Amino acid sequence: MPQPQPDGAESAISAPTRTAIAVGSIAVLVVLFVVLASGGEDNSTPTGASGSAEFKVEAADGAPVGGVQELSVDQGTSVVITVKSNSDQEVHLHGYDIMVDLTAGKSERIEFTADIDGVFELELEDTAAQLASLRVNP
Amino acid sequence: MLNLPIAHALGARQDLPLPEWLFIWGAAVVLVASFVGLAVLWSRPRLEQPRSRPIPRQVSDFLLSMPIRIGLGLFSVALLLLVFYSGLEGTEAVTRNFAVTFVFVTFWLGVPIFSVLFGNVFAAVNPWRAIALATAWGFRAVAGQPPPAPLSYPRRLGRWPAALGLCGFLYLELISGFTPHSLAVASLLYSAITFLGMSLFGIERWLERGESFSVYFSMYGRLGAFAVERSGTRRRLVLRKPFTAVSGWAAGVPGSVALLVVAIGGTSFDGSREGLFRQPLGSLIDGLVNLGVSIDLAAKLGNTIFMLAVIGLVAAVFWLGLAGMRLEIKTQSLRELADLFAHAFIPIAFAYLLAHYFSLFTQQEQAQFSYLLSDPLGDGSDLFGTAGHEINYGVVGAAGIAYIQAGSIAFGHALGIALGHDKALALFRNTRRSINSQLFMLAAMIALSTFALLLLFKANG
Repeated sequence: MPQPQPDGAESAISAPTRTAIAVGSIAVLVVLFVVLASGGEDNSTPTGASGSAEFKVEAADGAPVGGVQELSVDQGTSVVITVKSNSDQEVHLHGYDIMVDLTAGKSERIEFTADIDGVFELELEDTAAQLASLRVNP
Repeated sequence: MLNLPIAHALGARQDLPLPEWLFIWGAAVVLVASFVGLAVLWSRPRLEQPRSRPIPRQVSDFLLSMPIRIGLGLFSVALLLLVFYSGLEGTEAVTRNFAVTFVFVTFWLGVPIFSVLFGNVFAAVNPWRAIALATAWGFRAVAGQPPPAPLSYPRRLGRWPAALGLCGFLYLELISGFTPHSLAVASLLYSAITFLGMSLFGIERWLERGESFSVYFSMYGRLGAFAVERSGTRRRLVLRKPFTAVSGWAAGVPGSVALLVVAIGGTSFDGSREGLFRQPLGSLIDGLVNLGVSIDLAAKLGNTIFMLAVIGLVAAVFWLGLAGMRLEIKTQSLRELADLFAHAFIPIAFAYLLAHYFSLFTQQEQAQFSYLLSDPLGDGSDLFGTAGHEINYGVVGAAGIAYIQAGSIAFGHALGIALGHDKALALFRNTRRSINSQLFMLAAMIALSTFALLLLFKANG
């Protein structure tokens, strides 16, 4: 049912103008998307599947030495994380689900290919104390 | 200590921050859609009247038939009992206990998704409702008379009990540092409250107003495709015309806005801890510890203060939108306007939920249907031979997740604008005045949607 239009304000914008505004704005958004999307990909410099990265993480008295480290690699990188602690510990890299038993004072290597993107925690399993955060960029 | 963002407590993989270009693009869509939307949207209300058409009679009769209803009821009661049992008797490792993932992921995130798609599905799988209906039926059969008439539910209470319960649930999930055991105890307690509420005020009345999950899930169910309609004693399943059942959700029911604000605020709080507010929250907790508060209490106190602050922030944004609208609509009080327009924020609340928890949902559901089903107690049993399965964290990649996040925020925002616009047209029957009235509302929506994008952009950075 048509509704009454008390002061005829509906004609403030004509139908062709509406269509033009809609089409124009969609065009602007599409252009923006294309520009930003291509620019965004250029910003990340992939090291390629053959890249490799090594990190050292040390814990003392159940806490990370020098605070929680932020480790960042690209997807596909071969990663080696060397972990060491002054007490016997079990270290867990979440997501990749790698567990390593540490003997006090002895270094152990966690080796894996970073094939899952996301952010993952490396922590002491018993106390859930976080040692490092691994960021795998797509 | 488990008062972490829920994705950190349960999931082993956290989302990468939203890429910068997608953040900018999402914000641009939100802005452009807002202002252009007003200019080009329809000029007569279209979503005011609920419209629907019946689905084929055989299908409807089958889906609403007694055996199906009883089957679904038994299924839901069995799941509730399994939550109690696995929570009380199972492992205390949160990631290995059926109860935790079931309550916080399958139930809490899964039911809203199904509700938005299909309508108010929870009514069919609500274990408390099933037990209450069966009890009432049993009472009639034994006593030969209906159960005593319930008290009349005070109108002023509205949806406030549900909003309060939602706060309690969010505290349990995000702050309490729950264990499977404490989760089971909380579920038992909540079940007792629900049975008490239903016996005092009547089954359907309490489920419509007081029972948090029914009220919260049915809010999303307003957006869904199907509904049950009654004509006389017959019940019939109907297909709704999209988005015609949302309008008027809050009208005349106090506490509705509170429920919505708590829902948006709770998700924002959890998201903000992953990045935007991580440092200030840490400083607050450190400060409390320095004052001599124990670390555990300081964490709970600090988190509670932040959650209330974020909920307060969302409430303030909502209030500003309404206060601005009053410049144009002087005949209505602030409360009446809130009642009229609150439903426009339902899609935004759902967009928040989906954007923040989509990846957690896809990951934890793999656990739910493999090792948590085969080994619900985490005691090494293998009922269905799937106890050894692992979660495949690569099932949706970072790019896919980012698109879903930005896309759901943009779509929820656009739908919110459309709903607000339609309501304003119904109120004014005049395009210009309704547009003017919506400018502040739009500003409030833009603030919430860009805030959601900002949280994702800053997450786990």
